[in-house]
Amino acid sequence: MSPKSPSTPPLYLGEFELLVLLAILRVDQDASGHEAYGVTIRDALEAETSREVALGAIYKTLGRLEDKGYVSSRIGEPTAQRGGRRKKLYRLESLGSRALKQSMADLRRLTRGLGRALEAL
Amino acid sequence: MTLVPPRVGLAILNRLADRNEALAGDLLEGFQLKQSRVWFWKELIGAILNGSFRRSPVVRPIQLVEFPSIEIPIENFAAKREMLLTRGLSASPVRGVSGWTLVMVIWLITAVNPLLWVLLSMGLLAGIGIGIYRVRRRQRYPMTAGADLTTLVILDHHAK
Repeated sequence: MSPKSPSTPPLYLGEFELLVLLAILRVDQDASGHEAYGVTIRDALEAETSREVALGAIYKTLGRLEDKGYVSSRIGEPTAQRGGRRKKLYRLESLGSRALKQSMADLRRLTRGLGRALEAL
Repeated sequence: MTLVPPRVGLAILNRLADRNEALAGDLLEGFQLKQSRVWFWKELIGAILNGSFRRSPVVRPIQLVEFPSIEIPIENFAAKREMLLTRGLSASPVRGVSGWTLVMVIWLITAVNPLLWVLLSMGLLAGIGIGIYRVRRRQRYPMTAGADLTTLVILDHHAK
């Protein structure tokens, strides 16, 4: 195994970080043209997973992902529905894409050949 | 009928909104969709408790140029020497109050109302506690490299 360079940041993702990155990707790929921000990310997560997600938890995770350079944000337009407050729109960055690919590849490798065992759980 | 968010909750949200404008907007937008005051309170309290409305720990550089040194220049050495000489263990930190005055104040407090010592001690302990909390907080959230770099870039620009 090759030693890791100290300048290369570790591309590890926590479970919820992985879910949030996938939700951002899903919203971006969605044909409805929605952009990824707190509410749409939460909706995507709740629609596709069995969990109820708090907006505060999503923002904490987004802040962490932004600090790692996995996502970037820009400020959107204010709307009356939001009490005149602006959205913070998130976008997956190349480092985030790499982390996502790596995590998904790890998951695929780990679950390879476990189809029956997982179904039996 | 369209529900309106609870007034107290809205007041709290308005107070915190400048710390995380996007989340405040999302909570209002989410309320419009969910139409549930229970949901609103749950989300608001959850966001406060998990620190989503905490002020950013990033220290923004507020200076554009380097501050002048607070050291007393060499030409004022006599003033500096005098200032150092007037500082003794018996001297008071309060200007114009000498060591003996301090002794009298201590005697007066003890004689008139010794309970004041309890208050003073509590104040001292609270001060130490706040100091320790602030030091720990600064250790936990040190000045970010980004802020340092920005300051350096600005200073470098001025040097040119």
